[in-house]
Amino acid sequence: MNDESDGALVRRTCSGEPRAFEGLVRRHEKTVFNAALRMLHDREEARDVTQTVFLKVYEHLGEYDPTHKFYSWIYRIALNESIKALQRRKPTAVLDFDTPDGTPGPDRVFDQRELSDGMAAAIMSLRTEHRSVIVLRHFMDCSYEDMAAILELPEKTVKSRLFSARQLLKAALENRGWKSE
Amino acid sequence: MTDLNNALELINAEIDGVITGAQKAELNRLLLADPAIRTLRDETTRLCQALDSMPRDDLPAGLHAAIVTGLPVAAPRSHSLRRQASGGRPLLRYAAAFAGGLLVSTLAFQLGKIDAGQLRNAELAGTIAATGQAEARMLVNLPQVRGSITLSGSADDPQVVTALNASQPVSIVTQLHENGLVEVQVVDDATATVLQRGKLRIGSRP
Repeated sequence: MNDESDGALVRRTCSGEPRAFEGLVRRHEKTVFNAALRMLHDREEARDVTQTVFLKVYEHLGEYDPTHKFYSWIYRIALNESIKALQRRKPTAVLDFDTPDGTPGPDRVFDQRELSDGMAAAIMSLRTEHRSVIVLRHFMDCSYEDMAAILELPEKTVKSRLFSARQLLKAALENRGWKSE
Repeated sequence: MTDLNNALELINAEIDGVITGAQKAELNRLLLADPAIRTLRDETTRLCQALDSMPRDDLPAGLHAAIVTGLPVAAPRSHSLRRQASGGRPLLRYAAAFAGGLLVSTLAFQLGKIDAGQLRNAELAGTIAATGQAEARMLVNLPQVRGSITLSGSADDPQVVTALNASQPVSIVTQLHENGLVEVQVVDDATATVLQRGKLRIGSRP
């Protein structure tokens, strides 16, 4: 595992050691891929977005402002690329939000697999702005401060949006028969 | 703020690990007073636990290799291209935020030029020493950063080469003007203060 900081790897890359960039890829690729996957609910699209993100990061590495956290910058690009991919989708695309057996009951308790599938679909049922804060907080482990920097919003707005997103997500799961017990 | 809204904020603060002692006491008071708030807290906590326990997918086979092999062969340019807020003039900013390491890099101008009249002579503060027919050098000898910034190449194709050793984050901001003059600023990133200014021109003399 490379112990060099992100900043050190950026500097080495910009100083003519492009192979140092692989350390940055290795460090952030899984988080970026999972974030894209949660935003898009499609592994192939998430794969394409992940590749695009790192290409863009590489091409624009000179624009990175080292007074900010590198991961905030790369996560912002990941989020923006995911949103662009969503916007490219055909408007007729319909997502299946039914429970796996198609017969949700009001008091069903999902097993782990069902919960994971149900949660993924419920996340997809959220508006992009709410899905983004859920993904940033729960899949990218971002703090309120990080989220505010990535979304370029006041921290107060981010918190409010996150709290609303959680309530909406809970409601979406309950509509699918999830019982939080 | 209603008790429910207040409780919702406190519950989320507790889940996110940012609740203060006073907030925790307030939340406990609300929980004792209202069973609906207890239910809200339990449900929201379980939801977040479920979210956090969702498995992270492994990378698809071959994705790492595809990312790495798909990168351009050339190293990324170490200077960013920014535009001034007014007038849209080309401004090149190199964020040389590093501590303790010598950084040598080259900047090739690719954008248009602006009028030399924008510069004021009073801004000239750097030491400029000619080092050859096609070079002009500005020496930087500050507590925060030491080294040199060199303008080389030709008037049509100027390049700025930095060789700097900084003890704290600084940025090198360069601006190419119509007559081939390059204005250079060394900026303290922490305070956004210009530490040193200079003007370089190919073939310039001290």
